[in-house]
Amino acid sequence: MKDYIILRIITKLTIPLILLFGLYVQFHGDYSAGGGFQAGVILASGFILYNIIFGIDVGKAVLSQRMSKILMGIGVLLFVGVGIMGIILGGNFLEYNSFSFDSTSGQMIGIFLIEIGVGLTVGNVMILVFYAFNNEES
Amino acid sequence: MFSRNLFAAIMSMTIFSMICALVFLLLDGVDVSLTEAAVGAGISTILFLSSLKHMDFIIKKNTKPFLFSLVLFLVLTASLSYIISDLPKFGEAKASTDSYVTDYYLKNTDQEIGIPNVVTSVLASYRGFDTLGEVVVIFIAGISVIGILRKEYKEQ
Amino acid sequence: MIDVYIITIIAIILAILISILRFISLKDIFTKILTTNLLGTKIVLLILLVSAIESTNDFSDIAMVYALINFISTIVILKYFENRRISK
Repeated sequence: MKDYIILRIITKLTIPLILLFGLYVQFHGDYSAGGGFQAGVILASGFILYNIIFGIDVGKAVLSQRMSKILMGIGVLLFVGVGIMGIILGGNFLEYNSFSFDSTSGQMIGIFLIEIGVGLTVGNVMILVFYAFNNEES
Repeated sequence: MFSRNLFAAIMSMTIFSMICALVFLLLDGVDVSLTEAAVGAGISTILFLSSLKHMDFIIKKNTKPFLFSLVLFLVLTASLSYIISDLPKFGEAKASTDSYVTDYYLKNTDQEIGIPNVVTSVLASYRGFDTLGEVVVIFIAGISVIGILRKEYKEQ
Repeated sequence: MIDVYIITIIAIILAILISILRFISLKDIFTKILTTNLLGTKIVLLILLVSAIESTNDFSDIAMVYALINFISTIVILKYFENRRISK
C-alpha cells in the first residue's frame, strides 16, 4: 500500500498525534477519563496502522516480535512487583500507603506505576495478536 | 447482524459498538465509553478482519432444522425478561448497588487517594487485586493465541 | 441558544436512523463501507453537541478517540476490500 501518496502522507502526519494522544490518555487518567487499558489499545491501534500502511516488515524493524513479547512480560511483572513492594515496605499486598512520606502521594506513585504496567501488557498483547494473524505469507 | 456475508457482519458489529459507546456516554459512563470505542470499534474490527483471511468468506445456508435453537432462544428471552421486573428502577435513589460501597468511595476518595477521578481510584487502588487478575487474563489470552497459531504454521 | 442545539441534535439523530436503514436495506458492500464512515462522523458531531450543552470538556476526549478509530477502521476495511487481506 506504499504507492498511495495521499494515504502515506496523511498517515505520517497522524501517527505522531495518535501516539501523543495515547500517552495523554495514559498519564492523564488520574484527572479525566482514561487509564492504562484504553491507552494501551490506542497506542496499539496507532502502531497497527503503521504496519498496515508501510508493510509488516518495516513495522517489525520498529518493534520486533521478540521485543514485544519481552515488554508484555515486563508489564505483568511490574504490576506484581508493585504489589510485593507493598509487602516489603510493611503493608498488605498492593497497598501503596507506605511508598512515600504520606499516604496520598504514596497512592499516586502506586497508581501511576500500575497503570504503566497495564498499558504495556495490553498494548503488546494486541500487537502480538495482530502479528500472529498476519505472519505467514501464503 | 443478520448477514451471511461475514464482511458485512463485521461492519455492522462496528456500527453496533459505536452506538453502544454513545449510549454509555449519554449515561455518564465516560471511562466505559472510552473503552468501548477503542476496543469494540477499533481493535476488534482489525483483529476480526485479520482472522477472516484464514476462513471462508460467505457462510453457506444452513439446511439443518433450526427448531432447537429457536426454542432455546425463546426460552432464554422469556427468562431474561422475567428477571428484568426484579431489577431496581432506572435512577432510583435507594437501589442496592448505590447504597453502601459507592457512598464510601465517593466520600473518601479525596482524602485517602487524592486523585479526582473516582473510577481510576476504585480500579487501581481499592480493587487493585481485580485489576491484577484482569491483566493476567489478557496476558494468558495473548500467549494462547500465539501458541495456537504457531503450531498450525509449523504443521503445514 | 439551547433550542438551536436541540433542533440540531434531533436532525443528526434522524440522519443516523436513515443511514442505519440504508445500511440494512442495501446489499452493496461498498455502500456499507461508506455508511459506516458516515455514521462515525455523525456520532462525533453528536458527542460534541452534547458536550456543548452540558459545558464539560471530558467528552471531547471521547470525540477524538472516535475520530481516530473511525479513520483507522475505514482504512483497514478498505484495504481488506481491495486485496482480501490486511497485510500484503
